[in-house]
Amino acid sequence: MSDEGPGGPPEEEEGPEEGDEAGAYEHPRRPPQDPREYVASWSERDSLDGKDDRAWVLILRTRGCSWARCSMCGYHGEAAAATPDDLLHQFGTALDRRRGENIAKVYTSGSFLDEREVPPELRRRLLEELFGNFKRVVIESRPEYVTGPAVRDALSACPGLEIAMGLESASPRVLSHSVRKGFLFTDFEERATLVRRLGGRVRAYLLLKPPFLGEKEALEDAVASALKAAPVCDTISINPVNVQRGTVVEQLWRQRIYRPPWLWSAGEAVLRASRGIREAGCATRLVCAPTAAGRRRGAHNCGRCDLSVVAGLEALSLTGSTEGLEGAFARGCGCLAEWREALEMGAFPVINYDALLPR
Amino acid sequence: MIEILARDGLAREMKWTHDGQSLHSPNLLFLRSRGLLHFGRGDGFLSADGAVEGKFTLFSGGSWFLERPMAASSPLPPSSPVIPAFPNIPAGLEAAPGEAYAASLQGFRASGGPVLPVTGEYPPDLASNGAELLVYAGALEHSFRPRQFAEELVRLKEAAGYGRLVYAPGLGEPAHLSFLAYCGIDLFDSAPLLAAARRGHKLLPGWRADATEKGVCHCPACEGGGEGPETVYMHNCYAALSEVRLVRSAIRGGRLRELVENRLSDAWQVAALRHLDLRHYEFCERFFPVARPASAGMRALGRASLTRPEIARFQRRVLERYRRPPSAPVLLLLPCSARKPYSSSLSHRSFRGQIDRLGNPGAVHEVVVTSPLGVVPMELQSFYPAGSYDIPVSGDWDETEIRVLRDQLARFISAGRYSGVVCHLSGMDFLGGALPPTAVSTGGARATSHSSLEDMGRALAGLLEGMPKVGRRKADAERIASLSRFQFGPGGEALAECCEVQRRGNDRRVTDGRRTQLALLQHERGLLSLTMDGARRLLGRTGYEVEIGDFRPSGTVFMPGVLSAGRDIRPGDEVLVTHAGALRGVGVALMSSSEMERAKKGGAVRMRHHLSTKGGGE
Repeated sequence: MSDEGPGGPPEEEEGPEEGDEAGAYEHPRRPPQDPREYVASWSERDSLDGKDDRAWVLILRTRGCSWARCSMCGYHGEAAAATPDDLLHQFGTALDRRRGENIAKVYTSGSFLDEREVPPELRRRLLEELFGNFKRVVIESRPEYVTGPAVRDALSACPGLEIAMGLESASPRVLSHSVRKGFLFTDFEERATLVRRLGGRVRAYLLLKPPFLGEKEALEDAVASALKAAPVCDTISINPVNVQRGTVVEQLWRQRIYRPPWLWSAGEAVLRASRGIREAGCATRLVCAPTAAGRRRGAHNCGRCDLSVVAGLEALSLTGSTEGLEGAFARGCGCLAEWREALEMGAFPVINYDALLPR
Repeated sequence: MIEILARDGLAREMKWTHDGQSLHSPNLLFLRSRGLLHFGRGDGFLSADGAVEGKFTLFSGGSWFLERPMAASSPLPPSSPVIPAFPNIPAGLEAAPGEAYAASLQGFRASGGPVLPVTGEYPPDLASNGAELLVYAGALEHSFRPRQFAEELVRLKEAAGYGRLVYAPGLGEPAHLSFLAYCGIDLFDSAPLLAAARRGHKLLPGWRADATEKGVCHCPACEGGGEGPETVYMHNCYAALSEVRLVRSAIRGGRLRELVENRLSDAWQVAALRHLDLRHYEFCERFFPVARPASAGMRALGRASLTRPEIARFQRRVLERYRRPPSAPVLLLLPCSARKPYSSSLSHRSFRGQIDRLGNPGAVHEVVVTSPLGVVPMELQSFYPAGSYDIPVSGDWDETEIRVLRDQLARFISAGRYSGVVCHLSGMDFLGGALPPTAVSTGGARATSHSSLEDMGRALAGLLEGMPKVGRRKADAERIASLSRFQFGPGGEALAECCEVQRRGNDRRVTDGRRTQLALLQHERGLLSLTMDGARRLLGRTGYEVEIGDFRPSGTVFMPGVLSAGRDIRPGDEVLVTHAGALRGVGVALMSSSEMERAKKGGAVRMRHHLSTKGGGE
């Protein structure tokens, strides 16, 4: 009975502050970024045409996203004024660390196809090099840069290229009032169709639980969005929202208005979406690799069962098999009933039940 | 339809009737949905699937983001109170979505349903629209930040008025109910009871027990055994239900603040209460009555009591409104007594005996120094809360009490321009700095000891030497003038011009000296009750007038009849009822003037005398 608010336990370190000042939070200003250094690069498990493989992931430090207004995205903190020479240097140093991966995923903190981030000559050169080194190449862009000329140019440099777009949701209300994405499903659909017509592959990123949506709404929206996007996508990746620094989501999280989704919700969303996609006769591959899973800022359950759900999600992403996830649900956990209750509370949208749950 | 049954500060006991069902507030809405645990013993429900048979039911469901209205599977009775599905987006967030559903709510409001969600910017017609229940959407989130909670509450109350229900979704733990009701929130729900049950918390008012601990409670759920979430949820519901009944009882009895202070167990509550007391005094004070029945005597037991609006108001009025009797330039500071009124206590009777023996009691101004009120001039001894308060006496003082006493006393003495000060207090040496250097201290180790009393007598005699004797009639009249000015503000002293006072026990009958009664001061009420003749003396001089339409008031004056009301009127105040500047009667205000400005119905003044009656005694 000490310093708890009506809904929750006292905070642990790194948590949202309690008390009057929590609302006034501003994240500490970051040191200026070095344009010679890429943001991050790592190697991860992935699959290629149904077979186990690894992906080499590179996040280039560019001048950043031209939109930079999405409520959950903190990548704008990573920008720097990088020249083509800087970018080439970043690319080169990262490629030196490649360990035989067959898949390349090259992202910027914005859009790879935005010519103000990656000039066309450089883009061509990078794609050609990627094509020569990897069996599958994935880049990401906002749909407004996925134009006929850009796609044609990219595909000629790198045939079979997979272009990813952050669709986030197919719902206009979620896109405009929760994510603040700046485009609608039809914009995405049009560009996705274009990419496929020109011979490219399409990947859509969807969000699980953008801000202001309850757990149940979030689950339903992710499933519905996956089914709606599947006919124009080769891959759909469901991304549970994680709390990134300097975002609206972080503000809300600190005020306890936002809690990242349960891993159970991710599991359920993926199971339902993959079933629906199969029933609709689509060959779309479904993946889900939650960032910061099991941590307070990422999708999490009670802490005891988190790993088993994450393992199920990974298995499904790699092989398409739902067995691992179904097993996790069948084995259950003490928190499964709590999660079901949180979903049931979706019948009372006026009550912010998340604020009453332990984080 | 809403009926206000009782008031205490911002809290209301109300009866909400809709479609033949009624609900008494404050109350809990128990959540009802097929997939959730169900507690059927409540009076009100918030349902996602159909009405709860024979009970007051509000409906909820659907989703704004998924563009899904309430499930078609739950046919609703016509004109049911439905809470629309809207996203809970906090005020002040820089994100744009605030506007998002504001538009979508327009349609809902246009439908004229009795429920209206409020969040972010309030609709401009909030004060006047017909909604009976306001859903205070951000209440739970604001409760995490006490300062903001207090600010938002004041904003909401000022915008929405004081005669309809406010529902705070997600709040409703037993420990919080009295405080939330005190804040003017009327409906809560069982969501926090459910969340606590899932975490193994058995809730009791002001306490949280572990679900596995046996024998902490004997409610029907606990008597049945079991420690699973179902049992704990049922227990939590029983606990909340009995607490909310206690809250209603406390409102009716005028003792809600006592209950609130008794239940303070979470830091945010204490902080929010402090913010309301210290930072929103001007707003809150208006709703607190100036008189309470003796059964609701104030218990000022802890630190939270020190900032009660009634106490702060008393202190301010002593400094701002009060004037000492002009013929009593000798100040005698006395300790308080457990027995009220002070003058009926043994200690004060012996003080009084000593003063009387000196032969000029009218020249001595007796003033009690007491925590937490500060200074209480003896003629105000019956005024609430001076007339009935209880404090723990152990001889220990905390810094805040000392500071308030010292400050209050210094300012009082300086305003009174006394010719001499005798400080007959013991164990309050810390007041020294507040006294003039010439003050004589006579309290000794025990103020009632023979030697202390003799010291006091000697000191007073020295100061009174050579002073003209003040006649009893004059002394009494001056004290009534001081009291009247304290009660009615500047101008109030007109009541006492050339008056005569007859004592009857603790009561005082005020006449004009020619058998016409002007007012009666009963210790039980603590205020002067005016006759028509007394009221005529005050007409046009004070802020305690209620202007009504052109009718002859009798019984109770109801709201539509009130045209305007003086700003200073508080519940329980003695008021003059006028029309076009002419006196139509005298009565007791049932609500504050702030509420009279806003209310559309309900009793405003209970009349005591009106034109057709002879302005005689009670």
